[in-house]
Amino acid sequence: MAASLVLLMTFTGFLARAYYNTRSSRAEELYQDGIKLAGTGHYEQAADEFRAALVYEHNSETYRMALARSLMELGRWSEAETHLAELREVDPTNGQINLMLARIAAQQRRYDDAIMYYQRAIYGFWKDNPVENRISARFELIGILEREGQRRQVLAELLDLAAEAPEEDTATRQRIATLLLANGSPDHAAEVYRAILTTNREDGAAQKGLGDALFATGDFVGARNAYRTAERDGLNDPTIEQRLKECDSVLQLDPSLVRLSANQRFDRARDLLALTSASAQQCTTLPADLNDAAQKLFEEKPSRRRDGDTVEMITLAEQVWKVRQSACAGQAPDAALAAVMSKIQNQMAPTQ
Amino acid sequence: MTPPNPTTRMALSEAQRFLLLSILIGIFAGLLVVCFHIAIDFLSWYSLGALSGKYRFGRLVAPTLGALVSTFLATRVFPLARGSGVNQTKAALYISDGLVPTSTVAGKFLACSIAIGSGNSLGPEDPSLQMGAGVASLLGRMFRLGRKNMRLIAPVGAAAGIAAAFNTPITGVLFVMEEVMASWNAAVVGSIVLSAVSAVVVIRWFLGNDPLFRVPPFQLTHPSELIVYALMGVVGGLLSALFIKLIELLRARLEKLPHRTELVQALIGGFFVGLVGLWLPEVMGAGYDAMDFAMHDRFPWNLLLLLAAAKLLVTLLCFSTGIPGGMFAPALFIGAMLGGGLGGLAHHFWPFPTSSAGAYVLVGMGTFFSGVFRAPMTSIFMVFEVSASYVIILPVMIANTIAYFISRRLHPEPFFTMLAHQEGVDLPSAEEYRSTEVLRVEDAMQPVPHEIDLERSPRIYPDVPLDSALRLLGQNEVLRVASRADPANAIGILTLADVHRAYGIAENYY
Repeated sequence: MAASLVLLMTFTGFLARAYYNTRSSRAEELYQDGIKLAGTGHYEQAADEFRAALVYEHNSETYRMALARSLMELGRWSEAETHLAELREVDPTNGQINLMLARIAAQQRRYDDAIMYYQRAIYGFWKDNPVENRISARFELIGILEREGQRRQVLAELLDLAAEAPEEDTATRQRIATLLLANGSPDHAAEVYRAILTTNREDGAAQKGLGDALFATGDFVGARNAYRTAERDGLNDPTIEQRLKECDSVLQLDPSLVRLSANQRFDRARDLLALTSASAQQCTTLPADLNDAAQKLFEEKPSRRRDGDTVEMITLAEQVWKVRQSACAGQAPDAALAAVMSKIQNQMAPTQ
Repeated sequence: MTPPNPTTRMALSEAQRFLLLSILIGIFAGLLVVCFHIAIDFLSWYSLGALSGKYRFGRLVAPTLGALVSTFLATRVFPLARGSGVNQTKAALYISDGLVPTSTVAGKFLACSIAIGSGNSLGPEDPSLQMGAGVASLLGRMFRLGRKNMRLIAPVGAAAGIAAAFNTPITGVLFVMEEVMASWNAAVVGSIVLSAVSAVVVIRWFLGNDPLFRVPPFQLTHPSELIVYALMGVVGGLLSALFIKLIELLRARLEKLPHRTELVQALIGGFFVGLVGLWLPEVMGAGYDAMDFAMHDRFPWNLLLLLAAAKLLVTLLCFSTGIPGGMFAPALFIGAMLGGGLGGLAHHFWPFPTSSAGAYVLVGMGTFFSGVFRAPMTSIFMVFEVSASYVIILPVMIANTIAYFISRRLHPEPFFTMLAHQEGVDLPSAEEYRSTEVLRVEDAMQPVPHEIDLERSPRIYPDVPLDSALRLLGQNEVLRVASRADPANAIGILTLADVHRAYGIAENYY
């Protein structure tokens, strides 16, 4: 009895080992065939191979992931999603799986799901290159948020990215700063550019970016300096010359610059009012009260210049600019004038 | 005083030997089921590939040849291995004093592994059950058990076999108690549990801890889903009754054909499986992979319903044409696909939120099983054991119980009893036990009417069998029913008409 039991156990043990070996070798063979086919773009056949491999090794995450990838390549989003959902059941914090699910959801325009999966991918576990993968996932998420018009969320993600991105990864930081600038946060963009320049002072692209960011914040002097440094560093960018000209024009027009005398400030304010009125009158007629107030201020003799008049002219210029903005939406204003008015509007905004 | 003889002290009583033997039976049955499982998989790999697109031709040839060879083995080489494992185990228990011929073990192993491995739509559980019973019978004879214990040994082995096949010990125990023993025999429960657990330990040792399915988490999304589950039970019950009826009719028809056509019948059955398998490879073999896929929402609801219908058809043909193999896996498959299909439909059209089709696959699995095999407890606990989810109990109980009652109503004869009757054997079943329970006074008594005087009527207690009450009713028109706790006060009356009503005899019978 004991002998037959031992004999049967030994036999079963050998059989089980042979079974497992055959199973895994067959599965691996099919998987490798699938990889080759996928490599040559034959995703349909590759998916068949991966499916067959999974019949032998149900629980192989590698094979299932490969199958999901092939299905995504074939545009079979739903089928790919079921495989990924299965993988996620086993490993819900896996960054790669969540990222692929996010891409499928984005593809199917289920943006809420996509955002949820992207968040899980960003905070999930990555076996290889976690930092790079998280950054890449966050950029994809930012793209979705931009598409959805969730600007505040975009900025939040960009700021998180700026904090997470490695110091030495200049390209990523540059991309973050560009996005910050494009999404209306020039202050943060300037900070990121400055951080890049701390690592590499001679980074012409970062200098130019810093110039753009400072220009957007209204720091035209700082912007001009940055553009000049970029030019000096040998950055071959044809827009720099144009930007420098704009800086000069703005600096000649801006009445809010420090170190201007009262007379200079008055003259600039009057020029500004004249320019905004002319710009507005190209496409609309100014309201009578605004027009009269402007005329009255233009007729003031230079001997009667007062600080109060300067402020009044700037305020009036801003009001005229608002009329222009609503009436002349299709007509691009002079870049320097627009920059100065933007700066003034930003400065006035908190007091309104 | 003479010291006790060491040999005497070491000698085990028959009860102790029986328990020890139960563990051994579990181990041997477990090992045999491991080999059986591996044999099926090996054959399946080499005959069908992995059912991927590359091996389409194999899908047509393999089941046809497999059906031919396996039926040849079962009819010509191992004729004793033919028929249902459950019924043969019952026969060992009630008729042949625990004798299950050893050749049936070899026969079942060879014939069924070829049939199932080549893709025929049958399951490995019933053969495993019979192999377990065969091993138990062999060991019982080797241990020279007494006649009483010899009779009980086959169910012990059967529990080990089915527990190992499903990798679920509770299901194994329950099924044998419910279907094979047809009663809760306290003397044998311990042994059945020991053998089932030993077998599952062996299975897990050699084949790993992976459960039968990778079950997704189950949740009841909305209370109204219970109505959907109830509807699933109704459909499952109707379909299971239809399935038993079709098998009964087809088998009866095929039985009338000349004996020499047996192999041709099997060949046609196998060919038909292959033909369907060309387009729906999921219906081939036991189908556990497809059930697993369905649980993970891999199939749309319309494909699930198509798979249920196709599996029903191919299983009907395989089983009726005599290809050796079991019915448990196909029944689970049909129920799972039906449940998933109905769940998917509900997901689209039900006015309230519902779970995904995967949840319905899991619940549906038990409904068809419950309806066909009339083992509601086993079906409920099987789903519970497989899912390891307590939340699932309520939907499973609702669906399975409804399926059970509807199937029972439409086709009163249970599946295994029907098979036994077709084979010319009369074996008891739990189903029959339930319907032939002794009727007692409390089942027939009526409330006491105000105007009646019961002073002279003899007293009878509610727990007395009606047959005994009849004797008293021969001399008295009315009996006064009183409880044993308070014999002085009547709690009801009993008349001859009440007894007739309880027995279902019409009042104008005489």
